[in-house]
Amino acid sequence: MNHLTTYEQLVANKLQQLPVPDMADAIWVRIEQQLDVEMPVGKPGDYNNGNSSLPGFQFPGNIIFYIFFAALVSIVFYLNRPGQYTETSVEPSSKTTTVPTADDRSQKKYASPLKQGETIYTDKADLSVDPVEEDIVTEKEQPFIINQTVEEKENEVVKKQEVPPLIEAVQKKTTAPVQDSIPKKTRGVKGITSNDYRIAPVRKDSL
Amino acid sequence: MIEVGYDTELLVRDCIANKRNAQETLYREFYAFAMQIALRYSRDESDAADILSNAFVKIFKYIHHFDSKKGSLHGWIKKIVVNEGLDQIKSRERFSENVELETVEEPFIDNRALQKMGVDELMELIQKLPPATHAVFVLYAVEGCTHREIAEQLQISEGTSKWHLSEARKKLQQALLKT
Repeated sequence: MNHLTTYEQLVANKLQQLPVPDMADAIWVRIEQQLDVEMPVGKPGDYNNGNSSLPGFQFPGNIIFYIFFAALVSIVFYLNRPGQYTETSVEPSSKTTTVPTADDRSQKKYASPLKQGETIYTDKADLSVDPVEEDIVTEKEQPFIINQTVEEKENEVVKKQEVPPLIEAVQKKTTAPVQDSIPKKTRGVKGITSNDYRIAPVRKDSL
Repeated sequence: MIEVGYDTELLVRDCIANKRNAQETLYREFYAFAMQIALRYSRDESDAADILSNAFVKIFKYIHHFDSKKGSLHGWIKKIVVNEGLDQIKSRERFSENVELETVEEPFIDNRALQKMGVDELMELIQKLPPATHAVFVLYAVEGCTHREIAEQLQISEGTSKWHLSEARKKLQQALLKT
């Protein structure tokens, strides 16, 4: 305990009666300005509009826009990245046929027989299905046996592309020997052979 | 002034929720109480306004730390205002550790002269004291702190606190004799 002298007790009592200057409004303005800087109040509808139990927490509306924009950009980037499945539309064409080759097996391209207007998902963004003419097909581009792979990989989610019957016909045609249907036109005069033009030395009879 | 049970809890809750109208209500309810404390540690009204504004910003920033079970809101606010006042004094003058006293002399002061003196005149005398001496005198004579408590609060030795109190008494005696 401290020992207050009589005059100190008097001073303490007098200071309790100290008149308070009328500065409440001016000081509040200063306090409010400081609070606006350090503890800003959010707009109506914001998280920090007075209903929050977390003082000073800010969640400006701009952040929502930035988050949305970043999500949009990441989705676009994800869809366009190499090696990602992209959507490729096939235009309807009566002459369009697909010829799976040995290379296709390594690429693991999964496709079903194409129909008009059907959309396939490939693992290459720039992959397009071009029509293959029958004459172009060579021995190197032999189709792999789809019937076996389909049976072996029935449990796989993606469907295998079936081989259209046209391919077998093309293969037979390319491997068959070529025969001319038009007979070859004979050359020279009829009845004269090459022996007729042969020059032979003349023999002397009696000598 | 807010009485105990006068929706103090609701007001504190709204202040925690950073509601300006609740903060303003709390400020205006405690303005006179806090201003009287601020004036004791200031040189003039302008200083007191600085103490008060800084103290209330701290009050609203840390009001979620207030626990009504540990003490009253008045006590909590008073402590913050006093600390802010002492911070202001410390910023004006460094508390010297070179001066120490074992015992504090009790000079003779004419109590009749003191009683006749008005509050404003008395406050003027106290405000003329050197800042460190001023702080120790107010803490000892008005707040009722012991030298140990003053020493802990101001981070000085008890001997230094006693020296400042002795200095305050001498200077006040001289000032009262002149009046």
